[in-house]
This record gives sequence, structure tokens and C-alpha cells, in this order.
Amino acid sequence: MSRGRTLHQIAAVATLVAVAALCWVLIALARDGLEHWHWWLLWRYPREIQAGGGVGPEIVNTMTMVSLAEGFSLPLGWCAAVWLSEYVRPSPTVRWLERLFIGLQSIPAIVVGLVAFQVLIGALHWPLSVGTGTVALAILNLPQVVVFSRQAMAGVPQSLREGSLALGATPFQTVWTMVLPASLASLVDQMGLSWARLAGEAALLIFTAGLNVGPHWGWFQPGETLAVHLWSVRTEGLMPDRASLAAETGILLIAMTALAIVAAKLLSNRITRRQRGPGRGRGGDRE
Amino acid sequence: MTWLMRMILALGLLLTPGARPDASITVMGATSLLSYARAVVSGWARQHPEIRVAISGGGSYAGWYGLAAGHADIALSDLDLGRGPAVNERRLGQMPILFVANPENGVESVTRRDLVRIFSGRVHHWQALGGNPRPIRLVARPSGSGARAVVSQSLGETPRHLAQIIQLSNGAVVRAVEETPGAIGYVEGDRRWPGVVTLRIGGQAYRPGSRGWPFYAFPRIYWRQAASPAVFSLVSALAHSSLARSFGIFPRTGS
Amino acid sequence: MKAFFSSPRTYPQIDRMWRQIVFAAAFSVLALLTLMILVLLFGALSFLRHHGVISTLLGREWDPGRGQLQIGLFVVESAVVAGLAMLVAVPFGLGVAIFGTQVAVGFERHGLRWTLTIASAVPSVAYGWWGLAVVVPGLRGLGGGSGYSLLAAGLVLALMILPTFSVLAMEALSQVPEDWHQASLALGANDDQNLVRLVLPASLPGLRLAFLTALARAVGETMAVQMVIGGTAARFHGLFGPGATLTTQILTDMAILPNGSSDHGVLDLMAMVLFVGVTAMTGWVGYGQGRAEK
Repeated sequence: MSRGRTLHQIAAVATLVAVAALCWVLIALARDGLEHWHWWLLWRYPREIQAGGGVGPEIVNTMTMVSLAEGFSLPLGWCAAVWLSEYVRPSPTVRWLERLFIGLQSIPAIVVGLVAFQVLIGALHWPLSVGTGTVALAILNLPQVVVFSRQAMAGVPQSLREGSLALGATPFQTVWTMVLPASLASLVDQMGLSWARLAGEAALLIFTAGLNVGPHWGWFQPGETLAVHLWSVRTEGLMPDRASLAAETGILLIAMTALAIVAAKLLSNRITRRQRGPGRGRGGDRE
Repeated sequence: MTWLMRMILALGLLLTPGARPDASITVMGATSLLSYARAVVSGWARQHPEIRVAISGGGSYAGWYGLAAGHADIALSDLDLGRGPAVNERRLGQMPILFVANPENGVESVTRRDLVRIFSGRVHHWQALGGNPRPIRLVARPSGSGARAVVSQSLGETPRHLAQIIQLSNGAVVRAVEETPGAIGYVEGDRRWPGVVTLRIGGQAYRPGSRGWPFYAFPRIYWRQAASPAVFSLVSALAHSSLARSFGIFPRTGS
Repeated sequence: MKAFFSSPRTYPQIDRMWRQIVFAAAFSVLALLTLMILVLLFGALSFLRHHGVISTLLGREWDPGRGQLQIGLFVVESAVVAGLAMLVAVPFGLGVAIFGTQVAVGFERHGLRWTLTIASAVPSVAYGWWGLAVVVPGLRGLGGGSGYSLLAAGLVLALMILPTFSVLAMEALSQVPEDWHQASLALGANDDQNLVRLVLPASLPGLRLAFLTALARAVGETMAVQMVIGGTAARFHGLFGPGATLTTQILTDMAILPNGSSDHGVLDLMAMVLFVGVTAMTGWVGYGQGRAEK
């Protein structure tokens, strides 16, 4: 190594340590989880004090609640971002509004949980259920969707919009035929991350979705998710196989979130590549 | 603007209290009774498939207030919360509170006086009680837990300057005691916990129905007098289930 | 239907409808979030009406069973835990970002990005669990205490926010234009001088965003912290002793101060303190960015 690269070498060592620590977490979990892996985990019902329970309903709850929450917050948040970025003129009020959204983006989940409990369960008398948890997740997700949609749209060059409007397109047509396709790759990418974030959420759902599952799925059925199950098995579980069960649940949850992220990323790269046309740059390098 | 008005109206309709189905029961309360409730409910729900039962913890107080506010239908408690107006109470029996310790402490039997000294911080080492040279570490439940109420009533409050480790449930207490050398904690229910030593007190090991055992919690079920028949049915299932014994709940011995 | 969308005569009509939809969406998002803030504010203010503001926020006596409700200790311990986490995570995260943008190429760079992306999506419960298995026993051997401690919480959080911070920092560093690099190198700067005098100062706004986003995540985390912190709410027991943060204490005391009890408002107040703290921190970034763009 040449002179004057000391700092870079320190950085390389720090990276090695950091990556090793992160891999430690993932590998420790994977080892414990895969050692006792049983496929019946995927469809069996959970059990209280006997061994051999599964997490079938928890998987269904995680998938449906997170997807419904995204289905609710994504269109709403995206439309709000369209209003912010395409319709309003920049003014101090709007800047404050955007600052508020950026701030709200990192709002602690437990705060949302507290409010969701007070309003939905305390005041409206909803039961602790799939529905309550879904609404709480959607609200947690909203500011994030607004912020990342806004960022994705800010990445679209202004000249594209001007060109579209100059050709006589209405703002509606401009958004749907110009801005949306141009920001789609970034949107899809962020969607995967937010799906993963919601799937891993536990603190919020302990208050709102409950700690058990119903005999069948329904809006007002109790809705324990994988992340909540992982927490409750690890801290309160009474079944003899709780250690391996927690590890298996953990590895399953990580696999699901990783799958969501990777799928979104691949899709996003594919969109970028297709838009750039064949032979022009490698889509994989764009992040 | 009319569009906006219509949308707000629709949202409002969606969120009205009437949206809650009648055929839904929420059981809420003490975490120490949750496993029992879950086990009973999963059997009961099979006979009543039209009724949805949600179970949530939150503690005895949460169940009680939930009952008063109307978002819980059955409250489980391991504390005596008194009898509010228009609320029925049924005692489930008694649940022993066992003291568990880390096996490496080298102590398997203590007297009640020892426990008082341990939990008031007057003795700091297991050596002083004939055990190995290890500092004593207290593992406790948060205030509001029934087990903590029974223990502090009988042994005196633990001084606030002691560094207790607070765990939110019985399972978590056992886990912490098992993994922490020198730890002692207390749990409700009669279970053989692997990985920890269940302490004999004054030479006596707990046996179901033993009269001399000094630490009991008395779990209760509360429900509104104006409850639906389904609630009554579930309450009686909870009160008479043959599963109770396997969760450490026994009829009262009157000690 | 098709005719409606494709006929030029209906374009203004569609456009008006679209404008209303978009406005309604923005309005309802704002209304929902405002409602949330109002609920918290109402609870917090009605609590503060009966208790002194200063003594509640700065006092350290906490015993909800006896009506002692002062949250100063949790504010301090939240700050200590988040501070510890940042102290560990920032140097390593910066190292990762520098390596990832200035040194690594091809496979290394790709692998690093994927690892960080996956790690940033690992649920916090999993980090807490790793903390129970590794950090708590480790600190027990090191510091003599029970292992459940502020330090354990800080270390678990450090690892948890490391991927978030690194990814954002990497983004910031890679924004520095390539010709600036070349200009700096052409003037005779070696790689380290290039890094310290050009790359880091030029990406400072992005780094600040990374720092504050990670800090906000650390302050707001509940589950991972609750699993390893020990939960003692009475006194400050030092870094190796157990403690409680605002988030973990909300989770713990939902049990004794449930919705409907007279002192429930103190939980709203704690949430409000968290909320204001986090929003102020990250909102400040937005402010800085707004100025930089001008």
C-alpha cells in the first residue's frame, strides 16, 4: 500500500469488524434455527405447553396485515406526495410541512401504538385484532411513504415535466405517463424496504393486534404476527421446544423480509434496465 | 370539495363504534394467566366457531380498566381489585408463588427470614446463606404485577436503591434467572422449570394443596353483569376447566 | 369508460378530478397525523395540569403505585443509551462508508451493499435476542454486574443502527462528483488528504442526515432495548447497571397505568417527549437541507 492510505486501511478494518458482527447475528440465528428445522412449522397451529407447535396462522397474519397496511398507506401517501411535489408552489408553509413529514418518518413505533390503542380500542371499542393492527401499521408507514415518494419524484428531472406540459399534456397525464414511470424504480425499491420494516414490527402490534391467533382469518380476529410471536416465545413461552421454536421463527421472519427486499431490488433494477434500453449501462450498478 | 366531504363521511362511518361485531369477546389481563386462558379458549372456540375471542396481556389493571371502559369483556387478574358496580367476580382458586434461583448459587433451601433479608438487601452474597461466593442478583416483576404484590406484602418492599432486574412475565423471569449467575426471582404457578432451582422454604418443597406454603396468589375473573351469554359460557369454561391444574391453579385450601 | 379516458374533451374533467383526489389524499394524511398528535397532546396536557411541569420532566422519583410520576430519569437514560449506541456505531459506520465508496470495487462493494441492506431489515427482536445470547453474558464477565445494563442496550442498538447509518453515509459520500476527486488528486493530494479535506467536508449535509436518522432510530427503539436493559426504574445504577428508557418504560407501565386509569396521561407525556425529540432532531435535517438547496 502506498503512503497516505492509513485512514483507508483503518476504514477497511472497521468494515471487517462491522460486517463480522452483523454476520455473527445472522449466522447465530441461522444456525440455531436450521439445526432443528421442521417444515411443519409452516402450517401447524401454535401450541401452548406441548412441543410441536407451528406458526402457520402467524405467517398468514404477517403477510396479510403488512400487505393490507401497504395497500392502504401506499396509494394515500403517494397521492399526498404528488400534491406536495406537483401541485403546491414552494412556500415557507410547504417547507415546514415537508420538515414535519421528515420528522414524522422516524416516529417511534411505540408512540403510534399508544395512540392507536387509545383511539381504536379505547374510544371506538375495536377488539385487539388484525384490523386494528393493520390500521396502526398503515399509520406508522404513512409518513415514510410520503417522504420516499416525494424523494423519488424529486429525482425526476424538471425538464421532463416542462416538456410534457409544453406538448399540451394535462398535469394528470404528466404525472401518470411521465413522472410515475420515471420514479417507479426507486418507488419499488423503497416499497420492499418498508414492507420488511413493517413485517419486523413488534412493539406496536403487542398493543393492537394481540398475542394469540383466531381459528380462522378475519378483520376482527386476533392477529399475532411472526415478530410478536418471536418476542412472546422468547420471553414468555412455556413450551419445551421454545428455544428452537424462537430460532426457527426468527430465521423464517428474516428470510421473509430478505426475500421482500431482494425481490423489490431485482424488480427495480429490471425496470431501470428496461427503461434505459438494451446495451446502455448495466442496471445492476444503479442503486 | 364535495369529493372530500364524501370521503371524510365514508371514513367516519367506517370508524364508528358500530363497526365492532357483537360476536367478539376480548379477554384481557394478568400475563401469568394468559397461557391458561389461551389453552382454555382454543378448546372453547372450537365449540363456538361463530364467536371470535381475542386474548391480550397488559396486566391485571389493564384488564380491569378495559372492563370498565368497555373494550374488554373478561378481565383476568391475580390481584384483588375489589368489586366495582355491575361487575361480577369469580375466584379461580390459588396459584403458588415459587422462588427460583440459579443452580450455581449452591443454595437449595432458604427460610422465610432469609428471603426477607435477600429482598430487603441486607444480605448481598450467597456465601452468607451457605452457598457459593456469588453476589445476589434480584430478578423482579414490574409494579402492577400480582406476584410482586404478594411477595412485597409478605416480605416487605424492596428498597429502591437496589439494582433489580425487571422482567415482564414469568417466563422472562425464569429465563433471566437461568442465565444470570447469582440470580433469584419468583414466578407464579406450579411448574417444574428446567434450568433453575426451585427453592424449598423452611425445608418445605411446594406440593399441590400443601397447607403451610406461605406464598399464594389468588387469581380472579371479572366480567360485566350485563354480559352476553357467550361471555358467561366462556367464564364458566375458564372457571371449571380441567386444564387448570396443569397450569398450576388449584382449588383454595383455605390456608 | 374507455371513451371517457381517451377523448380529449374530457381531459380537463379528469384533471379536475385528479386534482381533488390528490388534494383529498394530502388532506387526509395530514388530518390523520394531526389527530395523532392531538390525542397525545391532550393526554399529556391534562396530566400536566395536575402535576408540575418542571418537577415531572426533571424529577427522578418514579413509583406509579404511589403516584410518584417523574420522568427525568428515563429521559437521561434514553439519552445515555442512544449516545452510547452512536459512539460505537458512528466510527464503524463511517469506516464502512469510506471503505464501501473509496476502496471497494466490484464484488466487495456489491457484497457489502447487500449485507447492509439485509441487515437493516433484520427485525429488532432478533437483535435483542442476539443481545441476550452474546452481549449480556459478555458484559457480565467484564463488568461484574448482572449483564442487563445500559451498556448492553447501547451495544445492541449500535449494531442495530449500524446498517442504517452506513447505507445513508455511503450514499452521502458517493454524491461527491468524480471530477472533484480528480482535481484534488491532480493537485498532489494523497488519498487520505483527499478524504479528510475534500470528501468528508463535501458530504457533510448527507452525513448529518445519516447521523440524525440513526439517532432517531436509536431513541425510538423499544423491543431490542427492553430485552437487555434490565428495566429498573428507581435509580441510576451506572453504565453496567440496569435501567429503563422512555420507550421501555411505556411498554412496562402500560400494565399499571392502562388506558382509562387516572395517571395514564404520563405515558402520553413520555410519548410526547419522544415524539418532540425525534421530530425536532430529524426536522432540523430537513431545515439544513432546505438551506443548502437555496
